[in-house]
Amino acid sequence: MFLFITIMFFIFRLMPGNPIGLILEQYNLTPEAAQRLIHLWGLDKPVWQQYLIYIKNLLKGDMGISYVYNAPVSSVIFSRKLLNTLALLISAHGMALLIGMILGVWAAWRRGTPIDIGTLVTALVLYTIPVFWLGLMLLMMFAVHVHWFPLSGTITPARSYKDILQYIGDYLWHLTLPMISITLIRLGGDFLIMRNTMINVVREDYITTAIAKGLPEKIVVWKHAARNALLPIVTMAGLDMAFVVSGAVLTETVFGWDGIGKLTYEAAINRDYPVLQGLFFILVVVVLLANFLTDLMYAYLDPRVRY
Amino acid sequence: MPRKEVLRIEKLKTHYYTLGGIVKAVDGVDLRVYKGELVALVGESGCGKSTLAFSIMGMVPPPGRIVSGKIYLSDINLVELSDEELRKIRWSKVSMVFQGAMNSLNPVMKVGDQIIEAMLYHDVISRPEEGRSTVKHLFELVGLDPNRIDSYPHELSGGMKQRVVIAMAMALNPDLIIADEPTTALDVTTQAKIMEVLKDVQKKTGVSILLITHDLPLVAEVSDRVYIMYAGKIVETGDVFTIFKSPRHPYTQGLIGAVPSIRGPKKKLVALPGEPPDLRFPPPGCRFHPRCSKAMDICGKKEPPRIEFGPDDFVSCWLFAKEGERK
Repeated sequence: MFLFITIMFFIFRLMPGNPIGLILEQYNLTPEAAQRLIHLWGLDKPVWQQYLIYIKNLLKGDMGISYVYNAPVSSVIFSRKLLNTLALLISAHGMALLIGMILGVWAAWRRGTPIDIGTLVTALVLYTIPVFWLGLMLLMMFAVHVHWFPLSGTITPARSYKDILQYIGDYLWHLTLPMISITLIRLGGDFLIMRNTMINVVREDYITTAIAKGLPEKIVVWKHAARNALLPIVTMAGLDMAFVVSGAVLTETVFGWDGIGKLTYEAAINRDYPVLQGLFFILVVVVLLANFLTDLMYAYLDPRVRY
Repeated sequence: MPRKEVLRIEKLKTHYYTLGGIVKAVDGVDLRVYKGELVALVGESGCGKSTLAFSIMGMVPPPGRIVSGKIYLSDINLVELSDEELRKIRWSKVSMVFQGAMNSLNPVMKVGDQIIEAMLYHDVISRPEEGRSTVKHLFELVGLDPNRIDSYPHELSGGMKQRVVIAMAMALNPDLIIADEPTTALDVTTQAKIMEVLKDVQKKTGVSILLITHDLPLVAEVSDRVYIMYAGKIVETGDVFTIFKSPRHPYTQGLIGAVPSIRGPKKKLVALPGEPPDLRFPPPGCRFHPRCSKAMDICGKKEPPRIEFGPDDFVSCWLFAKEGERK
């Protein structure tokens, strides 16, 4: 964890360009004002001193001040943006996991049939499509050619709402396309993992026994086979957290979804070091937390790993 | 007194339609099991024993299927049943103890629940709690501590798991248990105990057992009658004394000659030469003739006739045909 923070700190500072230069361009600051900013942000100190200050502040729970938003990093990150991202990621990944698992189980049980092969090919194609390309295609089809869905944003700008339901409706309407693109992309991978594990589980002796016991097919498939095939996909879902975030960066940028992913993208463009560091710090915490949760899930799903 | 037939198989053919050709795993098998009997089905690996078992259960895995023949289980021909009818017959009339004792229990379910589940889906009970006392009785029957009902499979030893599997096989009071090499995965002392359990269960309940194995000493010890299977066909059958004291078919003789004896005189073990044939292209005539030391001309040309010595007592071999028939 500490090592990671250190590496992050220096990698960001190795990026070409500097924050002041970009701000200078944007706001036409006088050289004196720029100097004041540089001093205020501590950018005139040697890098190692900046680093020590950063670590000291971080231990106190202070992640610094955003260069762009001119507000504490924590308030920039823990804001509506985080909620927006959570809404997008949880809905999309939940959907992908659910559909992917059901299709995977179903295809594995009918292995080798045309339906299975068709689903498999579709999944492989989805798995390899880059998320931003799919996002752009969806935008072109459903927002540009037919105006079913909005081009970008989380809500319609400058619109007044009669009640909360109307607001939620508008929000969901904006959510649809980014959610579908992440769902589709993730679906392929989730399907492939589930199908693979299921194919192995179906060959196990206890499945033969379950069939021999004269259990209805549904019970054999879901209660016996799928239950045992859950473990690997849970692991994958936990380990994939980092990719989830990278997917979010691209999708949110394409769809102008005002979330953490878009924030990451903008912070990187503007060399907003404190925000970047804060984001990655939180990412590390989330990944570690996800791994911990995965272990807990394991213990719940598999009696053999209960302690 | 005519004994009650539990299982009667007539001219059963189960073939696998693979890309490399048709594998005739079971090719015209006749077999009978009477009530309360322990019948052994003996043969080398890959001779079709397990396929025969799966045919009885109606669970031949694709690309295999039953081509022709009849399987009567107390007067119901299983071959003609629909999937749903078969499902109801499975376990309630005929249950199975599988090879892998270790693996035939679902690792994420309590062992008791796995037995109760069988009762539940055969409408013996309507709520899981009702099955618990039955399971405890079954555990006592197979010599397991009834308190083990809420254990997970990984908490039990191999022998205990196999007892659970036997208890499970008895859950619905079937007429027949097919035991497909029930002791192969266990160590020798546990093997003996598990066979005792099976025999004991049989004595107490009168269930018939079809024991599928290649363990000849075990067969000699526990079975009433024996079927010898070779390359998809039954080559010889008889009661256990006939088979072991005076085996008729050269293959049976070869099998018995390949097993060392502790008490008998020291003799050189004779391994059967050659390997079992590829069941996609079985040799013409008698399928055993390329490995047979007593093969004659006719053996490679015509399938041997079945020579009957009595009810459920026959051999398929040219050696026993009348002189005039061997043309």
